[in-house]
Amino acid sequence: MNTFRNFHPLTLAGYFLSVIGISIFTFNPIYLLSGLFGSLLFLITLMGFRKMFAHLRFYFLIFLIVTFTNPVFSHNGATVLFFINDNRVTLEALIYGAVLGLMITEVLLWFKCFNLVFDSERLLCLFGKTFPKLALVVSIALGFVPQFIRTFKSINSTQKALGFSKRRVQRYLTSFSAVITRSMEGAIITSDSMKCRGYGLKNRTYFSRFRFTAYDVLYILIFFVLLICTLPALFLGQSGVSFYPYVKFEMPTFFTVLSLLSFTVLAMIPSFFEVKEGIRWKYLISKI
Amino acid sequence: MKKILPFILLLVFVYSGCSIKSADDYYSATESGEYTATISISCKTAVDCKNFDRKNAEILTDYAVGFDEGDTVFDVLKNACKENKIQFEYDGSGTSVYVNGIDYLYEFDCGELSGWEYRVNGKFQNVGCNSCKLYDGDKIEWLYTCDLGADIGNVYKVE
Amino acid sequence: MEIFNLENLSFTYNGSDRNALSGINLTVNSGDFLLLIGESGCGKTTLLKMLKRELTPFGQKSGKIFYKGKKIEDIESRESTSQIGFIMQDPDAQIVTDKVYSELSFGLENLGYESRIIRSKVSEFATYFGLLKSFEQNTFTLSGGQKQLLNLASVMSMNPEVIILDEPTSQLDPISALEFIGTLKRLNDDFGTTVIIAEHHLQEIFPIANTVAYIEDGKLSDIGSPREIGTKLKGKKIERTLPSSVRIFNALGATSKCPITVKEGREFLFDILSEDDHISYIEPKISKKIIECKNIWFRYEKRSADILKGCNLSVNKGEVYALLGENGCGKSTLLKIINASLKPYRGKVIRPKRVVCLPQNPKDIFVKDTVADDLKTIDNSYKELSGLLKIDHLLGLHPYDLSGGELQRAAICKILLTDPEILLLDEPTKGLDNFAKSNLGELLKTLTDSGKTVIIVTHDLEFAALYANRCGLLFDGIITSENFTNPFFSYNSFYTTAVSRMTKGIVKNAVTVEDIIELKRTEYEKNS
Repeated sequence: MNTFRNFHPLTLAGYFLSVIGISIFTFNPIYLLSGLFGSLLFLITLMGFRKMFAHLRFYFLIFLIVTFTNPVFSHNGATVLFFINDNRVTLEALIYGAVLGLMITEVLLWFKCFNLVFDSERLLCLFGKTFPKLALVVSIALGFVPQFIRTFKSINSTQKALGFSKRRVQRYLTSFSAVITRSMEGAIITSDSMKCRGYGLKNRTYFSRFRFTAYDVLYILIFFVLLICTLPALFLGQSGVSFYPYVKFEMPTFFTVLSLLSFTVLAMIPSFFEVKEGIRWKYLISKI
Repeated sequence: MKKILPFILLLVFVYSGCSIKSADDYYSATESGEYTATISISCKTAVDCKNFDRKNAEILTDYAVGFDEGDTVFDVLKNACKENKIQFEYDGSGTSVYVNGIDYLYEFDCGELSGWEYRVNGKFQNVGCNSCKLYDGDKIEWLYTCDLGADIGNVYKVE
Repeated sequence: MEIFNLENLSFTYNGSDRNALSGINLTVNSGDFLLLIGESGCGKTTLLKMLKRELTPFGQKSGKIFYKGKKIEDIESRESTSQIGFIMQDPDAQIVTDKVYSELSFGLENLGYESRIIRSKVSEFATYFGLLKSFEQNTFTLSGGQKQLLNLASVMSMNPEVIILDEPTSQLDPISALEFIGTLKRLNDDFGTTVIIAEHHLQEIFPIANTVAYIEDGKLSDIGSPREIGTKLKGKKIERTLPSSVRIFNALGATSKCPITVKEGREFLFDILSEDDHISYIEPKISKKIIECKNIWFRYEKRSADILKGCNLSVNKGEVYALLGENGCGKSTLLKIINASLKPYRGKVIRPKRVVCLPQNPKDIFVKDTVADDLKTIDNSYKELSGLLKIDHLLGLHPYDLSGGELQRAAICKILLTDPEILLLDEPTKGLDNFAKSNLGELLKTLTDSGKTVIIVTHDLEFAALYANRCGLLFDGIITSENFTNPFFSYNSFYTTAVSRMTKGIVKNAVTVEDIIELKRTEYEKNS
């Protein structure tokens, strides 16, 4: 099934950069809500309903903390809720906090999506062509770390069983240095194996599983157009909201509406894509 | 719920030792003292400022406030604002108090060099407003500047 | 076509006064399957490394090596890289990258191929080697056997003329080893890829090779077809590594065609054994129980499947108990439960206090710079025991500098210092040559004679048949068959030793080569 994550890493990176970028630079709750909605839907398609809700608790907590922390430190705003000493706690500050919390939550959720979609090999694919050696080093390191941890655990548990040192720290240190020695030994074999397979020859290339297809071109174009439609209102300040002393939205203009619509579409694309392909797949299955 | 518990504790800690009052209670309490000072608050420069929409230049004009021995410019500002239900916000505590904003007008609202300054009897003071003690009949002016004091006559002199 | 031609090749390592190789003349033709045999340290590895220019060790070389008629020093590095593949012992350390597909493409990237070409080659080889399922996986999630197949595949993706393998199966369990050797044979048959391989365990690979070269003290002592070499090695120390059928053939002094497979061995035995031949078997006495596991249930996580499903096991004092079974059947888990490092969620374990386990990799035991320092961490009075285990000459060495067998003896010495009543050994024969294996077996006998109890988890049926008192087969979470070693193997039809398979239906109770030799020797002596 052709899902969103099967796009070329470059396309994916472009997408996340636009969405997260716009989210960081807007402070309009409507933008933020539509972005939040998009990220939540995408998360559901990525990790399922139940798992996502388990994750949401953490994000909700962050939202609450930010919301209730802001009025403690900011006393601007006309609608006083109550006074603490000589400082007013206002409704406006609370709303500002909520919007800030919304923005942080939304950006974090998009990063979560990014993390789920963008694994190490996609990352490597991005800069592998330009820095093939660096890509190889990262790849070696990523393969090495789990092995290192596994060896450490096995040495440590053996030493524990043998009753080596009552003090845990000392045992850890000794096991750690043993793993280092062992790894160095392994590294000699690894470097032999690399030499055998021609490492060090000139003109090394980089191979990545991902192919840049016409689909990628199409979607990059779509992202770009949506981005272009979103930005003017942001730069002209027409999407602004002022919170102090009263919460006040700017009068909507053509650009604001265009921008908001484009951003909403942009935020919905991944989940839309997943749902569409899901339906198409079911449809194809039903035809068989 | 375990995750939320420290957060609640933090809130309790932050709010403990604070007196919490409703707006009505806060503004209905009156202060009196054996001495009096007059206070003016003006933001003419902000009204003239192109990038900022501000109509009301005179927030308070020659208002008489009572105070006690040892009270400071900050105490008088606080009382004056309280009696006139004017919003204001400050940072810090003790002798190092800094006034960020008065009547929703904040520092940096009119550019990077904008903020509130004060003078007593026509003289700008070089100390924080909670260190500047007052005497009977002092005249306090809080002025908003858009240019680090240059536009309200507080020119820094090299001695 | 000639692939390799070695003319009077000699080699001395820097700082050594002994020739590692001396005067070797050898020709390898295209499509050959050449098997190098010889004891540990005879120069097999050195010879293999001489054939791969990138790995040639430092030292004094004389004589010439030709690759396809050209001197090996003169061939282009690209040609040398892609046409001569090399595979080493350690399945883990040979893997360079983190993903299976990037490992497959590593060599091709070095050769500077375009992505398009790499993609088609990699997919071709992943399909041929059955790596499709694990294509996107992280390399560290693979099993040892899969890792070694991946190493083979990533060498083969460069399309080499010849692959050189240095004991590639020594770290694998027998089933994976069989699969690996099967793949090698397939490559040799399907593509005519020349194979040069050094091996210790010869039962399966010996009949596959078309040429066997025996190397002794750096000299090419004998070369010929497996059948010829099989008979020529009669009486030499190396003989005991040969397939059981060859050993029986040699021991009985037969002169007909030397049998090299189980099938041929069966035919051979049919001819020489009569119905009257039988091996008597006396059931040994049972001493008192020292370990008892009753109805053990275990799973690793709350929602995972049960690994052990009501397993019962009892081990008697002073015996060697061999726990057999496939990979992942729960052998090591059961060992950990006996060791009390895991707790069953149901069931009861009765065991003495001092139980120690020798981990699969004996290196885990050592954390100091010398063997002696390591032994001192347990007990300063280690001298008596180290003498008994014959490791006195190793005490000053770094543990990692020891050979597989030496390392294991040192490790056993260290765990014996804790004065355990029960020794658990996890895959103790892994990576050992036959010589080290029989040393280990003798050591186990000494230990049980002195009252210790030993439980070994192993894949090595031949070893279990020779040295265990009782064997148990763990399958699907319980021990499905358990018996004294001889009846255990003679009753099993598939999961048993080569000799047992050879003699099935011909003579009862024959499990080891020694059983047959013993049977026929008395007969020979009677006749003469």
